[in-house]
This record gives sequence, structure tokens and C-alpha cells, in this order.
Amino acid sequence: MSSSAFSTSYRREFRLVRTNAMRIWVVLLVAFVLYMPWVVAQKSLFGFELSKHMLLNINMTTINVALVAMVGALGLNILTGYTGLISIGNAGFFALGAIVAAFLGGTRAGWPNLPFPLIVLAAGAVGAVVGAIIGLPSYRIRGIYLLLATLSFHFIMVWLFLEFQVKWFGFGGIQYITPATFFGIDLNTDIRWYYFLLGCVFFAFLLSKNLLRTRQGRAFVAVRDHSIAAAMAGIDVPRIRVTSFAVSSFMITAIGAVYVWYLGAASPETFTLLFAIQFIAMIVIGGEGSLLGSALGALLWSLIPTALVAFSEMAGGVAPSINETVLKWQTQITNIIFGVLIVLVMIFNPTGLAGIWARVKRSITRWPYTS
Amino acid sequence: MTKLLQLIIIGTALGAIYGLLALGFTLVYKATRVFNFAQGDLMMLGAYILVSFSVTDLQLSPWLAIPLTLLMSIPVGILFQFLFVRPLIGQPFLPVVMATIGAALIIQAGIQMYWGVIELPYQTVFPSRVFDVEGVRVSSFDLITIAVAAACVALFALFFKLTKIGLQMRAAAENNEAAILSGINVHRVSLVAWSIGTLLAFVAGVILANQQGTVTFSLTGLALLAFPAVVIGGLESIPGAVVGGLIVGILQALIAGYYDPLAQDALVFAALLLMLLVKPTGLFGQKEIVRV
Repeated sequence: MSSSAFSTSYRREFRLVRTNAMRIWVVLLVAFVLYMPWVVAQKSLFGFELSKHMLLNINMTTINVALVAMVGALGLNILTGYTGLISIGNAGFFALGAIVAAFLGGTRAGWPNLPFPLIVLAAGAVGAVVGAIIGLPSYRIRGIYLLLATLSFHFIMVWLFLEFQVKWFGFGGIQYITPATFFGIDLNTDIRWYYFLLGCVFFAFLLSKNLLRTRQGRAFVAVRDHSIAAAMAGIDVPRIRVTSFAVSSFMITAIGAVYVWYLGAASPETFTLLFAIQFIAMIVIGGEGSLLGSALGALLWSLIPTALVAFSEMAGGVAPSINETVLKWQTQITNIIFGVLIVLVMIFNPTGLAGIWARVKRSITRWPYTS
Repeated sequence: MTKLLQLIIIGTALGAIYGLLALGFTLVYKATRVFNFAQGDLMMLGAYILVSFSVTDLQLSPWLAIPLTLLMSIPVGILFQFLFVRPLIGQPFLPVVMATIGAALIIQAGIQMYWGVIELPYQTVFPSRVFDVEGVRVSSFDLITIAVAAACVALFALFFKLTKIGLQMRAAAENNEAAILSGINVHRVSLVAWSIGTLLAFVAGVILANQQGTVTFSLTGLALLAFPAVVIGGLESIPGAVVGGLIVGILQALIAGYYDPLAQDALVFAALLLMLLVKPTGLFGQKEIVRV
């Protein structure tokens, strides 16, 4: 049995990967994600043919969007899962990222054409500043109002986007024509984007994980669990809330810039309130206050629509009407599934998928001693 | 001057609808401490049920369809409370908001699947005469809207003041545990609060369907403007909800009239953001004192 709970030295305590078992898992995970594009491209796993339906109809685009969603969910989870504040402004921050990217990406004459990684970082920085401003009401009063502040941010941002694109880019939306180049490599295929986005997810994960291990990060959790007790322990609660909002907005805005570049174009219709709500759904279903949960939730979010089609096509052989209905109402059915899942998770299992996974793992590793 | 008066009248009629929505929201929040994100979706459901009764499914006379729709709000509100609110009683703020967000997703998608995504026509039965008062055009429909809203507020205030259940609701809002100890059935209070909240949402939906002449999916976006109304008035203040609604409506009309119709939502929300920064408790709100 592993003694993962006990560290024998500080060096070991500080390690991210602490046990041999974890090392094996990490190696397996890395091998799997690196091998993934071949599985999807050739529709085979170690030489075994997989049908389209066995892969749940996924393609590289689905996976790439899932990776983008993962970064967004990680960012939101810092705010909602770890600091206990709820934001509905994610679509607004994505839109902000799109606007910054349009300005700095050479789309508009008279503005600098920065290299792609710099644009992403600049978008993140702008997002952090704006996020801190939106988070300012938390200096005055509790978290409920932050929900409304972010709601207003969403509408202001979408309107600015609309105004901005009509005045400077015409009605068609913004086109990101300059190819994204990451240190000399053109990101022009889905596979290249996949590896780049994988890097983004890894970076976001590392940032979250390390932040949450610092004094600051532990203060986030303290504010979430009991803000008054946290204040008594000497934590500047409003400042922590604003910091958390800034970090979360940094990640979401940066990935917003990456996302529009991946799509190649952006218009205000991309960034709806539903888009923002879906991020909340991801972290709730995946597990609030869990980095693994963010990833699982984002994965589920991107898999449900394609899996739905895959299942309905299989069912279509038996009952064509099911197939027809599902294809017609794909978005709606997905949203209903999400809504039901949110409510069920909230009622029966507030820790989400990550909590289920933790329980399963516990009952296996501690086998005879579990109930 | 004529234009200003004209815009204020349009804004008041619009604000009356926001006021109704905000009133329902505030009532539910006061009685059960639930921040109901789905209030606007309940309003939309009301409008669609009306269309279902009078146009698409049953083709009843509007004089029958409207009361039936309003009656439907009670089972809908009770169902909503049972499914999304009751299982989460005693939970902190966040999970309950999440559950109502989930409910909003379900209601929206359900409406789209049942009634389709195209807009449905609805023929109003109310007189739509337009009076001309020294250059200011006042439509009879605006007057009806304002009258209905005012009647709702008055009835509601009387209900709160005079009936026993109204007293119980005030007690439960003031101090839930003390209310339980003095023998008030807070579950029943919660059910009544949700029914009335849904009823007010349905009234707003019925008015909107009559006013717009169509029922579309975009109504839910309009309903979100009830949130600025609630905050500007003060989250827990009943007169505040109505005043906030009127302020938002008039503000919107003025922005649309003098600046840019496209900007009206965004600027109203900017006002909300400003309000949150300057005076988050709203015009009529009370400062909250937290005890450990």
C-alpha cells in the first residue's frame, strides 16, 4: 500500500508527483495524450480497428475545443471552486480576448502586429486588469453581487464587441487571417493546434496547482470556506477575492484569444450567455474545487453532443425517428442533459465527477478497509 | 419636451413589466433566500403557455386563455419548488443558484423543443387605441400595462399586510428559525412564495405576449433586465423592486431615444455595475449585518 499521505522530507512534500504509483499514471497519461491524434486520425487503437461510433464521432476539432474549454474551466474553477464566487462573465472574457487579439494581431492598420504568444499573454494581462475592476464590488459586499457584476460585464462586453466590429471591421465579424506561429512553427493543422493547446492546458494546470499550494492559494480556500473566520485569521478577504478574480480572468481571457485564433473568426454571436453558463455547468458537473474536475467537466461538455449523435445513429437502425429527433434538437438535448446533471450533482453529489473518482480510487486502494 | 415625455411614458410601460418580474424575484428571495436565476425563463414559459392555450394547441378564447395561463403558474411554481429548491434547503448560496441555473437551461431547451425556435403569433384582445395628448402619444395598451402592474403591487402589498400567510411570510423572511419555533410551516410559506413568484412572472409574460404581438425566444434576454431593477431598488425591498423596474425601463427608453437603441441593454447594465460599486445595497436596501 502506498503511503502517499506521509512525506518523509520537505523535498518530497514539495513534489508535484509524489509516489511511484502517481509517476506511472502520469507517464501513462502523457503517452495517451501524445498518441491520441493517431487514434483519431487512423481510427485504430494499437492496430485494432475502431468504428466511428466507438470513437463517439469525435474528431480533432472536438478534442481541440475540449482543450480550450479545459483551460477556461480551470480558470473559472479558481474563482468558483476555490474562492467560492460565481461568475457568469466567461463569454465576456472570451470576447475581451478576441478584441485584444484583433487589435494586436495586425488585423487593424496602425496597430502593432505582435507575435502570437505575446498576443495571448497581452490578452491575459488585459483580462486580469478588467477582471480586477469587475471584482471590485466584492470590496463592498458579499458574493451574490459579483454574479450580477459579471452579468453586467457580459452585456457591456458583447455590446462593445458589436460597436467595435461595426465601426472598424464591418458587419462580418473579425477575421484572424495572420497564421498563428508558435516559435517558428505555423499552427496550421488541427494536429499542431492539438499539441499547442495541450501545452496551454498543461501550463494552466501547473499555474493553478502551484498557485493553490502557496499562502495566497490557501487563502482562497479559507475565504471560500468561511470568509469571516478567514478575516479573523488575518486574511484581507476583499483583496483575495479581487486577486482570485484577476487570476481567473487572466486564464479565461488568454484562452479566449487562443480560441478565436483557432476558429479563425469571431463575431458577437459566438459569445452568448449560454456559452458562459456552459462553463459553470462544466465545473459543477466535473467537481467544484478540483482541477481534475475541471478537465473532466470540459471533456464531458464536448463529448456529450458528439456521443449523442453517435448513439442516435446506432439507434437510427432500429428506430429512425429517434435519430431524426436527436439530430434536430442536438443543442437542446445537450442543454437539458446539462441542466439535469447540474441539479442532480447539486442535490446528490456536490463534489461532482471528481468526487466520484476520488471515492472509487479510495475504495480500491484501501480495499479491505472501506465500507 | 414632448419627446422626453413620450420616452418617459414608453419607459414606464416597459418598466412596469420589469417591476413585476423584479417583484416576483424579490418575494422569492425574501421568503426563501433563493436567488432565482430562472425567473425570466418562467416568464417566457408563461408567454408560451398563453400562446399554447389560445393559438397553437387549444384555440380558446383569450378571455379564457389568460386566466387559465395565470392559474397554471401555481402548479408550475410548486413543481419548480419541489424539483429545484426543496432538495437544497439549508444549502449555502452557491449550490442553490447553480440549481436554478440548471433549471433555466432545462426550461429554455424544453420550450425550444416543444414550441420550436420560430416566433409564434399572438393576437391581442385588448384595445390598442392611441390617444394624442398635446403631441404625446399614449397607447391604451401602455396604460393597461401600467394599471395591471400597479394593481399587482397593491394586491400584493395588501396580501402581505392583511392575510395570515402574508404575516407568516414576513416572519419567515425576517428570521427563519424563529418562525419555525413559533409554529410556522416554512415549507408551506416557501410553496406559497414560489407560487406567487411564478404567478408574477406569468403575469409579466402574458402582458409581454399581448404587447409584442408575438412570442419569441428572445424574451428571456429582456427578462434579464429584471436583475438591474432588483439591485437598483435593493435586493430585499418590495417597493424597491417596483421603483427599480421603473428606473430601468425609463433609463432604457431614454438611452434608446437619445443615444442608440443598440446600446440600451449594455448601458443599463453599466448603471448596474456603477450601482454595485457605489451603493450595492440599492436605493431601498438595508445594510446587512453578519453574525458569526
